[in-house]
Amino acid sequence: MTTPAGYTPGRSYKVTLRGNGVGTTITVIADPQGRLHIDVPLGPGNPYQQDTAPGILAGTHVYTTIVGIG
Amino acid sequence: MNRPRGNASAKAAWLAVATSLALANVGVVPGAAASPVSLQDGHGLHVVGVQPLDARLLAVTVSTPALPGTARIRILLPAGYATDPSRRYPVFYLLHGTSGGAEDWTTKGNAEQATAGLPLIVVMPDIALNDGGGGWCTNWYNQGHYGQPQWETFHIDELIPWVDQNLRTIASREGRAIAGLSQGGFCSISYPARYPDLFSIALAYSGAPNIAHDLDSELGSTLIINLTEVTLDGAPPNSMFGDRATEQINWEDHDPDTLAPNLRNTDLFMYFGNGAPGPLDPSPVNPGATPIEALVARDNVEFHDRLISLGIPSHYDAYGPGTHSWPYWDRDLMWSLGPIMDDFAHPPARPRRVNYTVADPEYSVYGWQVVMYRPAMEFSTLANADGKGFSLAGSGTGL
Repeated sequence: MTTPAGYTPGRSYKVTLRGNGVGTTITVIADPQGRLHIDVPLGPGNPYQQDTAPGILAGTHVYTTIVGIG
Repeated sequence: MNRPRGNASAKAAWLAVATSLALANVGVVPGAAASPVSLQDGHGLHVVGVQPLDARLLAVTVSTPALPGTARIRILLPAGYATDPSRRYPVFYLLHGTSGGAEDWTTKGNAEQATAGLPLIVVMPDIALNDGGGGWCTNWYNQGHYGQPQWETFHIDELIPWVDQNLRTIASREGRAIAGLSQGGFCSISYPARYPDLFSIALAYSGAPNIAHDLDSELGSTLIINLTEVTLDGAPPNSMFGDRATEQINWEDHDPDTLAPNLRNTDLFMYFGNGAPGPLDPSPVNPGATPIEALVARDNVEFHDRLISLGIPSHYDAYGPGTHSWPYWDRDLMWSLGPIMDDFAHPPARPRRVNYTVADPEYSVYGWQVVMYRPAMEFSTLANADGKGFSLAGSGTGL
């Protein structure tokens, strides 16, 4: 994910991620445009397209990861 | 830039060169009055022709790889546009309906007279080629092959930045409103629901804002869209959004009712009748105009109920007797111009925290760029996004 510009270019930011099996803090450096690039793990990808018969039978599981930027 | 100075012949020579360059660049129709603006290619659009129809109205023809034929755009400039080169104006995108074209609002409708004297640029693009059935403002699924027509690409990725490139617009969400009638009224709510950072005001005149959230609306919209594809566009059924059995999520991903939470910071207006003949209907009444308006009335009621359930305010004008016809859409336009101008003067605030739900695999909203890495299409939600953090819901990984 890429945030909007608004952070100080070149400065380090502590980023905490909490979610399904995720609990970590990483350091992210703002890019020259003042944006942060953060990979956000959610959970296993659902194999079937949502709102199709296979998708309804298997269920579309939704995982939430909360990201804090300090 | 060095400009020719001096005698009259030098000025005349410079004028001739400048005129020929302008003609070459914008394809002005020979013999037409001089255009008050110079429209250049850009953002995927090639300007094929520009014909000033009067002091305010331009008929523009463009080509784009997104569409299989040339598209028309009618542009109404505000009075005095050429005399005050420092002034910028808000833009009102105004869409026609099924079996119509860009010229409808200034030929069948009264948009030119209604907007006279307003400090406003009105842009009226085709949402159908050659007055065909129209494409429901989506990039067609085409039985999984995608490709042309890509109406959403044309309107969102090409037309809007092209307008901002060529005209003195207020090039931000706060300077854009969008309205449409019937099918165009689906587009004028669907686009703000998918791109809430592009428009601050959305209006539907006898629109169809529910194609995928309630069973009765699904049945009605499937029938109408399949008929449009087969009988008016000459395409196989389900060319636009796909078969409900396998591509329901693509319908939902363009459905204002499904995406209604994204409209929380958009000023929404809905105008519609109940289908019964009303005070503006001719005698005899067009027999097709009654059931269609009754259908869209039900659609609008369901959409309004959904907005209420979400706590999203809207301006809801169920005006009673009235059919699916131009006299009512002209009246809707007249009634809504005051609120539109008020909103441009005092635009709705941007959200302090961004909340956005969509099934697209990648998107950009209010500066947040998200790429969902996952095996299958599904909805994901970016929530409570501000400078201190956010949450992301879905499966796989957000990159």
